[in-house]
Amino acid sequence: MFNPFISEIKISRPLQIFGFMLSLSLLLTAYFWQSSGQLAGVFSPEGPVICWPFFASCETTRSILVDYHRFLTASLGVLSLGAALTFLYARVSIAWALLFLAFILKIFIFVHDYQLMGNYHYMGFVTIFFFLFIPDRVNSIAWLLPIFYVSAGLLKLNPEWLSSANLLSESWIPKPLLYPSLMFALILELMLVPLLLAVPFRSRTWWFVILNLIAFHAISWHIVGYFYPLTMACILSFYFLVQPQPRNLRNAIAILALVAVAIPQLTRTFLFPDSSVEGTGRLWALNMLDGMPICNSHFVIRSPRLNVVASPEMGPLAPRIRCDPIVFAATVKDICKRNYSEGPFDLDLFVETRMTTSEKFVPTIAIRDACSRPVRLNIFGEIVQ
Amino acid sequence: MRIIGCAYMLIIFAYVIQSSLRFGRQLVDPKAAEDPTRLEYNLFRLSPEGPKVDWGPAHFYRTDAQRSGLASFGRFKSFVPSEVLDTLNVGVHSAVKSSPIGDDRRVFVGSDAGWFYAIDRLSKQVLWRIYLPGARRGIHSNPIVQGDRVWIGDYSGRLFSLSAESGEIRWFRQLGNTIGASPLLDGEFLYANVETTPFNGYLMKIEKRSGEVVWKSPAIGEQSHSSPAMSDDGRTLYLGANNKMFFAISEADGSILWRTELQAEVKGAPVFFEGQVYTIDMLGNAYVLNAANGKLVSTRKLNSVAMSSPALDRDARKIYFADMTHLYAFNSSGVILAARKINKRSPSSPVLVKEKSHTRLFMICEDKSLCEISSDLSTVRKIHDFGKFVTSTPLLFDDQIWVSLDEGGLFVLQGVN
Repeated sequence: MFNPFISEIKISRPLQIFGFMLSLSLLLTAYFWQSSGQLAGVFSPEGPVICWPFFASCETTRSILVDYHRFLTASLGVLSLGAALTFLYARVSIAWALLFLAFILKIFIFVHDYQLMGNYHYMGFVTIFFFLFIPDRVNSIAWLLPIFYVSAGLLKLNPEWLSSANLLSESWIPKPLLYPSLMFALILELMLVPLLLAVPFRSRTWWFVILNLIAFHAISWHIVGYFYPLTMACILSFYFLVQPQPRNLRNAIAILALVAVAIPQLTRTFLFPDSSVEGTGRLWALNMLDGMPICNSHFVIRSPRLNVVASPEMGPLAPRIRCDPIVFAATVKDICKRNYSEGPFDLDLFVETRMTTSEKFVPTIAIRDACSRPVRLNIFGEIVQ
Repeated sequence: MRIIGCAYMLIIFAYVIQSSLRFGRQLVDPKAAEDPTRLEYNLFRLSPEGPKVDWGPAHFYRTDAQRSGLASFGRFKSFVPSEVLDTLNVGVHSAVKSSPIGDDRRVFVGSDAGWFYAIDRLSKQVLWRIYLPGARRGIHSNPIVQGDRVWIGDYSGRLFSLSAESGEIRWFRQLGNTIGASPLLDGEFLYANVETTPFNGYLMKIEKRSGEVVWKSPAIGEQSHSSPAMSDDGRTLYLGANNKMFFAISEADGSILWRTELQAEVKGAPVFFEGQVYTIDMLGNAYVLNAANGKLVSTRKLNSVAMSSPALDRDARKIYFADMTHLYAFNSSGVILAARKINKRSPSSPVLVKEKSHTRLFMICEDKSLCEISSDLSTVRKIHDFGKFVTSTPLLFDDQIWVSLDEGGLFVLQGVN
């Protein structure tokens, strides 16, 4: 049944080693989720429940994560370790099946809370999906990785990145060097990485781009921690293992898959240019920390003869989602669910957001009567009633 | 393929250059936006304002735009006290508590716990309430009431326009980090001192119906708890700040017309009268300033620290200053005519009552009591001992005196003959 997906890997030792690296990226995810306490925090019984818009009923199966997240993470680790070892020993069918199961398990965990979002997962998911299912995977992944970098570069074309305001922690790079470095990162992602599609394999230009990519991720370690650069190391091992000929990509399914990945990136860039502030249009696209949003929220809770205007702390949310409509929609639903049965009660929500480099707050959410006219999210992550 | 590649490179290069130019200002000064005095917030409107009708007389702290502190009140032999709210202020912050403000039907008062109440003057029942838990230190500013509107600022820097009848929010907007002083209403506009953290502040002019900001003054260098007073021609606003500076601000555009350095910070609202501004600082220095240029006309060192607002008797051309121990009657040149020890130890301000030719003052005395004082300061009559400290200023209206207590409730003294 799965033979068509496996045959290309069976005959290519470099692809098997790449499968080993992708399996390691899942093992790394399991370790990161467990050691950082992220899963324990997100799936604590008291924690906020923030469902992805495409899985709005995540609460129905959430108890599995609350009760068994340690077991599931351990299972992810065991499956991905098994996949890695079997790829290493060229037991490709078993390895493929184990990687597939680990992939499904990670998706199962991931879709249960929006707080787990992160482009390191996004890129890992897409790359593993291409590795598992997409024909001509060497050439299609050779196109996929530049799509990631160009998309990330487009996101970085904002004052938050260029001024270093969005860096999570202070960099040891001296300020005079930091700004040129950030500008170079942009040039690297937008102009140099695409050259990998054109220049000869292991030419001087090829080495220049690859070494700069490695340096970029290595230097980012002190800002973003170990998980992101190590995940990218697993993915970028592709360039050292296989010799793609991207210009020879002819497979229609592969091309369609690449277009399917590129469309959300382009949609976000061109239809939602303020997505960093508004948090919309990025549900299916890369969602990197392209800006540090600050939001000012007001929940107006209305009942006869008593109004409450609250501006609650939204919990220890990651900077990239703390002003996200998806988070606010989940909070609104929760408040309505807890209180609506107790009598006449309704809720309005008003949010204004700015980037740290901007002086002007932008009104991003204004919804009325959110309990009597329940809110939902459309495919772009916008709140609608 | 090469042509496509070259075109891509050119487009991206142009895009990078264009973006770099577009973001150039932020790159030069990326932390500029961290200055809270430069932040711009949005108006949130919950219901349309409707036709422009006259809302009638406005009621706010110190009565009028010149902050005279004049009240309309009868003469009564005795007062019957009753407790309207057993809990109002809970002591979350040591700042002066919100004073009740009312019209002929209702009384409005905020609490340091974040509640804002509308109370029926006759039945003394709570008509509606609004709770602002986002303001961690609650409400210390005094409301403004006019017809079916009440405006209130909270300690998280938001200004609300509410329906006085129902408490329904008409609009609100963040103005800064804190509104501690009491806004002023003149005609169609509100004037609010806004504080920011780190310590700074500014004055804002806001359209009372729509909530639109007309102007924001330049940063004044410190927080301002001194509610603004306006010249009688309506062209200048006066306020003090915690950096010892006293400001005159143009009503037209918010520009600073002059600033004068005093000996200490000013906490109370100044009084404007006949081209002069009267104010008192924290060290108990009473000042008379030339309203046109800020030059000091006179300075008098009083007996103790002071945070109150003076009261103005226009007819008698007298200004009453209160520090923590004494009440003083000044003439308009700044000469002390009389002084009376009252030991209030409170920043509460005197309220002036004029009844035909008879003038009296009401103010907190002996920490926890309310006293009635003759205009020549010769006689003091204790009206009621609340048993708790009072920093707010009493509301006197017709036959009632409303007082909010520190770490206590809301009292009304009903006058009887």
